[in-house]
Amino acid sequence: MRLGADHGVVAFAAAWAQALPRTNFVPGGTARRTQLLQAMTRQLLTALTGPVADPHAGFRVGVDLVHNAMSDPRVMAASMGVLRRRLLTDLQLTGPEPIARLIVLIEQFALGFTTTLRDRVRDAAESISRDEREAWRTHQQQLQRQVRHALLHDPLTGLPNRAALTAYLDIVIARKPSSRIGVCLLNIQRFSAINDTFGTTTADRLLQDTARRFRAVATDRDYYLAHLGGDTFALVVEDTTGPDDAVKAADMALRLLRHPRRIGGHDLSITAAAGIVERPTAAGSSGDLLRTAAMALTWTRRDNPATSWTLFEPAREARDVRRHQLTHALPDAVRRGELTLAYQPIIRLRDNTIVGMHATPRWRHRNLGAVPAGELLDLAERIGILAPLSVHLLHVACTRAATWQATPEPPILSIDCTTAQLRDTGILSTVTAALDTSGLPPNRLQLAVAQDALRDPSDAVAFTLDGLARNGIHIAVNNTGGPANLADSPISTVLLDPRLLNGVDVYLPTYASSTTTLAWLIEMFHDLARTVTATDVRSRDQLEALHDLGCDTARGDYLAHPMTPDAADQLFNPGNRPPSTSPAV
Amino acid sequence: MVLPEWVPDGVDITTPNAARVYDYALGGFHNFEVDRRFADEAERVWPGVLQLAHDNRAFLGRAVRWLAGRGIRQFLDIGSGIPTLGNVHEVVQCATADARVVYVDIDPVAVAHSRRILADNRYATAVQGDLRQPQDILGHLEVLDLIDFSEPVGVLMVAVLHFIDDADDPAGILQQFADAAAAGSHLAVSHAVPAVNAPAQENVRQLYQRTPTSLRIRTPAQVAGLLGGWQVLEPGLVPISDWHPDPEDADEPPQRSAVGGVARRSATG
Repeated sequence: MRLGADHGVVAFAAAWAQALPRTNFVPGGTARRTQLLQAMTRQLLTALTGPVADPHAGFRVGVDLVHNAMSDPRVMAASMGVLRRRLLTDLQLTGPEPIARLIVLIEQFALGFTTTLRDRVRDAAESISRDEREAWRTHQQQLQRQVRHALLHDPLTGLPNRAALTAYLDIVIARKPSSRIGVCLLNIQRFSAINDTFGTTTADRLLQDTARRFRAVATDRDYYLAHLGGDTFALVVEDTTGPDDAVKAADMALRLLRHPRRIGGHDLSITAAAGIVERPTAAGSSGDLLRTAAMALTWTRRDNPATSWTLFEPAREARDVRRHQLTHALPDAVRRGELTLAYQPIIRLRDNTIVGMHATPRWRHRNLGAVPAGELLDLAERIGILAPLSVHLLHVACTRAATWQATPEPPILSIDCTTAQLRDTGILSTVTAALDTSGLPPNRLQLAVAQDALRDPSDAVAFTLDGLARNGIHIAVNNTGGPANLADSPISTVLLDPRLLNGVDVYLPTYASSTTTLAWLIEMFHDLARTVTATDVRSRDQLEALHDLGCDTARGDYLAHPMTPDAADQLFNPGNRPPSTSPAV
Repeated sequence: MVLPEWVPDGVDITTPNAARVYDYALGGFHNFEVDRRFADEAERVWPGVLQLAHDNRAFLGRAVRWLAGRGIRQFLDIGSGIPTLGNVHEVVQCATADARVVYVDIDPVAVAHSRRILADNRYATAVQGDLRQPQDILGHLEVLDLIDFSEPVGVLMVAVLHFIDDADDPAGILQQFADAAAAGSHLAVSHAVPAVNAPAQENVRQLYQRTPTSLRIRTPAQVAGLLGGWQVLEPGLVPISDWHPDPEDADEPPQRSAVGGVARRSATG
């Protein structure tokens, strides 16, 4: 290459640089731009002066400009102008050959530039749309993580929530089917009172502090800790060897709470109650685990205020479930007339005469079948409807008994009366009102009270019993333990404990001793001038023994089964259909 | 799982984004119409403002070469935008093949694009991060994969600090980077300062108010005040076109709307 030519290259490149717009950023600044343009000019020089024409050199220069970030459309216009006007002059080339070659080079330059620019813009457009989708996807994944975290954690304490706990238990149950597992539910006692007294902020901080303390145990012992919202937390103990392991975990957590903490200027002392379930992992679902632990927690709070935890027992659960079902069904049962009275004849043994009818409530639950009278009255008392229910049943029974005619004497109506009812000061007027309304004479009503009525420390019960007796109503007492408190009482009849009859069977070795005891008791009650009634007589041996020992009256399935109201009516009004206006029960 | 019904706001192509506006200003194609309109409007209310993007990029290139010349082999480029033109990793890996570069940007599109460009590069990557959460960046697993904070690191914050509000404690943020960086680490920084044409600059500032990244103009003294844990090296915080200029660029018009400089982690910092 000639020295003069290189001088021309430098001069042309400078002019070229000068002509280019500065809209594109070129890394490396002026120095690099100059360097690039000089290199391109040299390629063009070779193409113009070489032994053969190289039109493709123009194409390559167009490509290089775009690749080096000089891609503004004005770059092409400016370049074509400067190439046409100055290239041959600056390189001192003359004659028709260079002119012809220059024309082709410029054509090829335009082609190279535009082709590359088109490709680059298309690639960029495709790439940014891919980037946008990619960014969108990344963002969605982040959101999903956030949402999942939010869905699975308590916002206040950051601990896994119920959903997370359930998922965790499901995994443990699936992975360790042959091991055992313990779940402890921990509930801060009287939390709502703290909330009300000190405000939500303090209560929230209390929960956070509690979470921190529990977390310390959980981390230390490798327990899984969850916050089920509000004031309830859960600890999961895996691979337990028995209930003790779960109890220990609960106990440790409960003890951690005892140290008071200072929150919002208050020294707060709290205690917690725990419900614990510990069992083989495969014994049931995560839902079962949580439900049974919650049930044990309920037992702690309801029944064991002194202790701080209760271990779940399946038998107790069954009782609880039945009681829950019955409790919910009872109010409706009364309304729908599912409750009836059954009447069991009381027989005078001396002459085999029916002298009375013992009325007991009957409830046939649609799923659970017959509910014993004792359980029914218990439930009614628990949900607070015992008093109205008893009054209702008393009215119904009295009304029916008043219609019973029999010679020589109409039967008395015997009905159970709980000690709780006797404590109600209104009982006397309630009973007399039932008698007045029905027209049943007082001496045809016998109230059977429990033994503890005679031992009740309050004077009210004794007062009530006296009042009832003064009105002519008979009082019978169940299973009295001894004569001492019987003597001064207005009790007219003693109902023998059915268990006394258990051994009365001629084929049993207990026959002699049982009959001796019975004889002794009957004689003693007779000495005290009380009538003796045997209840729940179930065999011929029992009946004969009672008869021989001088027991006055008896009832029991061996004598006569409890009967429906209609059957009872038939008994005392033979030939008469019960009147259509007769009570429904 | 069921996604919430609300629309996520991560990729918003209805509001201009600083990274994409810069890309357009530099002549790139990774931008949307809204970014181009924003840039054109900025250029209309303050003619010459897009040149600021060029000058910031040129400053970045010179600062990175200067730091590489000082032996820095790992770089954390925060607010990197869309690194299609004048990539840090190209500059530094040209000199040292295994030099490490991590790009950090808040814009997910910029990050996605950067990650794709860098997919085959073992020693460079891009992560999404917010400068206002320095610990998230410093503790990011992918950052820690490439950057060894027990060795000197070059932290690049070019044209990004002026998007940080005083309420977000920019000085505290820089201090946290100083605390995390080993002795011998450097910080390259550039920042918008009051322009001669103050009304025009105010117009652009107000334009930025409509974007997720509003702009704060600080005086050179205020910028220097942010660099507590860092000791500014010669020639100090100067107009970015004056910072170690290439002799060949002597004819370029000076850029006085932004200052830049390089600082070293104070021995006591």
